[in-house]
Amino acid sequence: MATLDILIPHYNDADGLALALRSIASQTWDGSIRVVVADDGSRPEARDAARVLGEGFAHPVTFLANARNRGRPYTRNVLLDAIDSPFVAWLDAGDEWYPEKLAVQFAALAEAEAAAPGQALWMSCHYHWKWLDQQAHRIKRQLTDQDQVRALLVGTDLRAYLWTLLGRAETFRNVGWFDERLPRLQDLDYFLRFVLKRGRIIEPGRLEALCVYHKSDLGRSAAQIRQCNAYIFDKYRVLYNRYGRKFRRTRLYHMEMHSARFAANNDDHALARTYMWKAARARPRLFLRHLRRRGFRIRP
Amino acid sequence: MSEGVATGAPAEAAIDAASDEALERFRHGKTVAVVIRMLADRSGGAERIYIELANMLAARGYEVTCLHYDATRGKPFFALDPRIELINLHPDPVPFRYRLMRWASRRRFLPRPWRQKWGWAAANDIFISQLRDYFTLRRPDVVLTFMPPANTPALIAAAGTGIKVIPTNHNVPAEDYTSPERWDPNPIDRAARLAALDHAARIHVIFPRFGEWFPDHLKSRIVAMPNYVSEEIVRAAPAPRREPVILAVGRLAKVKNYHTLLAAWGLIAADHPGWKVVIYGVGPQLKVLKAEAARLGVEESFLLEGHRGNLGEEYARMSIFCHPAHFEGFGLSAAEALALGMPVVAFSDCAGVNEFVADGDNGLMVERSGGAEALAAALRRLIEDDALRERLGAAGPASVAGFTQERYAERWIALIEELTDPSGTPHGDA
Repeated sequence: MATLDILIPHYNDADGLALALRSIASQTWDGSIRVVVADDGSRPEARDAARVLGEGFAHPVTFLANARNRGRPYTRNVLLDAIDSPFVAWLDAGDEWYPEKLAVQFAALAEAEAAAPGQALWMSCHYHWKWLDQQAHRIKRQLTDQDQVRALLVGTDLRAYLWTLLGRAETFRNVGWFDERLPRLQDLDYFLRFVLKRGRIIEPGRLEALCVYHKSDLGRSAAQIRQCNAYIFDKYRVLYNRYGRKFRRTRLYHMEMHSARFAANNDDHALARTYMWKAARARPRLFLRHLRRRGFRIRP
Repeated sequence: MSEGVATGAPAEAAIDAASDEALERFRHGKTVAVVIRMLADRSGGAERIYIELANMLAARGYEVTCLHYDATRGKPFFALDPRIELINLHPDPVPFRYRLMRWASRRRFLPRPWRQKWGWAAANDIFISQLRDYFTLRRPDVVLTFMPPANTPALIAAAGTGIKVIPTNHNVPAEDYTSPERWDPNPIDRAARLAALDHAARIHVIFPRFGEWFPDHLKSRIVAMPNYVSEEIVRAAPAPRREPVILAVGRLAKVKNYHTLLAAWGLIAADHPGWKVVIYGVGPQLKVLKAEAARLGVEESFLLEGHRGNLGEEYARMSIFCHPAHFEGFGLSAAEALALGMPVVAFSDCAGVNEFVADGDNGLMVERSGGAEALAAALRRLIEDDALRERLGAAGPASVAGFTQERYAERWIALIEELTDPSGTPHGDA
């Protein structure tokens, strides 16, 4: 049995998978690793290419495949079900870890576990955020010393990205299966459930980023994003309510603007305007401020 | 699940349908919400049962969410299974309107009916609104609520939603529903407590006899489930030779009636110099009891020992258990004492104890009208008659053998399954 299972969902992106695998191979952490790739019904050539990438890889690779496309949460459940090692990390095809990531996180996790025995911990990290069509990296910090439920709902300085995490296998099993009604944002749901189950997200306390997120809105359905946002908003309504009416309406505003961004970046400007109008209704003042500063432009 | 294949194997072997078995495996369990009003840092018996029931359900595959409404940010005193979600529904901060209502409800110059209305609204409106949002948006399969301060808001919140709510009652119903001394003294609350039961799918009581108190139209929904003696307690081994100690365990509060035990001991202490009384528990009557013991000259043999963790060992080594309470929902300490072979002395009208202590079988039941003298006579009889003490003690474990955690869990699961069975009756919400 390996010490660490690295779980990677894959769908029609062999190049992205190659990038992710290269970043695993370059890790300085010297523990034993098993990589589990779950293909989610990719086209045959993409699936075969993904499988071939694992052959001769520096670490053992287990390749799982769905016969047809079943969506990201189902595939994450396949991966969750395949866990065999005491520790788990996630990586998405197309994202990348820096060589120090695992070494730093394992050392910090051991220290944190010694300080808080019995506490369920997920070790996250700061990361670089890089838009695919831009050169600049922007560092995003995971600020964990705060009300984590509120921070996850806000999603500004504590974001629900599985590929930043290292944790014990049972902490993931205890959260349970991913919600298959969430083709998008299933990570946020999963993080919220972890925190509601008294889990704590921590970070190693280093200033630098340990991984990079190659960000792109292209090809992603704004309507689906909005639907998932609405589902999360309903599912966790009592949490939004807890922080007051203004908080709730501000989150609604940001959800609409978030969906509008996806629509605009996929050139569906009519839909983007619709979502912006809904955002304006949720928090008129915030929307006016946005208009004053940036007009109708919403790309960050 | 999808088939796993190490790389290098033929491509076909790696391909496996997302099988029905996997779909079944990833399916979420039935959802149960368990509601209590106050949970943070509370170590009472009801809170313990609340947590243990939630843990039992989680261990059996249910998806459990514990909902509470605490103004403070404390954590549950008892360990909650890491698979269980815990959500505090209390707003942070409380909206100004409700703070104003609370303030106004305490101003004596305002008319009493206004103060009562605002006081009740300030205490319950947000809780009800949060529960209603949770019920309508999350649609839990079953909701279990603990004690009137959570039962009433949950039942009001569920009204008309089709959500099946089972309020649990952990005391004598007449006390919980009509006594102005228990729970919220606001008459609006007292009226709402009983009226809200119309929306219950089932109504839990500890013993069948407690169900007889409820109005006729609710009686068909009553389910009786006694509590249980924890496995930790039963694990202790009874000592072959017991110490000459009369034990009592419980909160030092008026309802436990330790004054009568003290008065009884004052009558017989001088005749039994080798014996003493030990009470484990804390509470508001500590100082008064100490002062009274000193006044009676029994402070050396009437010992108030405070909180004790490993009670099993205490039951196992002491001789007589005395429980002079006025009433109980479930006399847990008396049941625990019986489980470890102690004869019990109690008043015969003490509900929640007289359900399982039978005079002359596993203890001595005393007429309350006889007061301290009658209690003293029963204690004296047991102190002086070794054979009687041993016979009654030996009958104890069998008399509470049905109160096991396993059986308790089975009863709850049977009830939840009955309510969530698609072929069963649709809903108890009248």
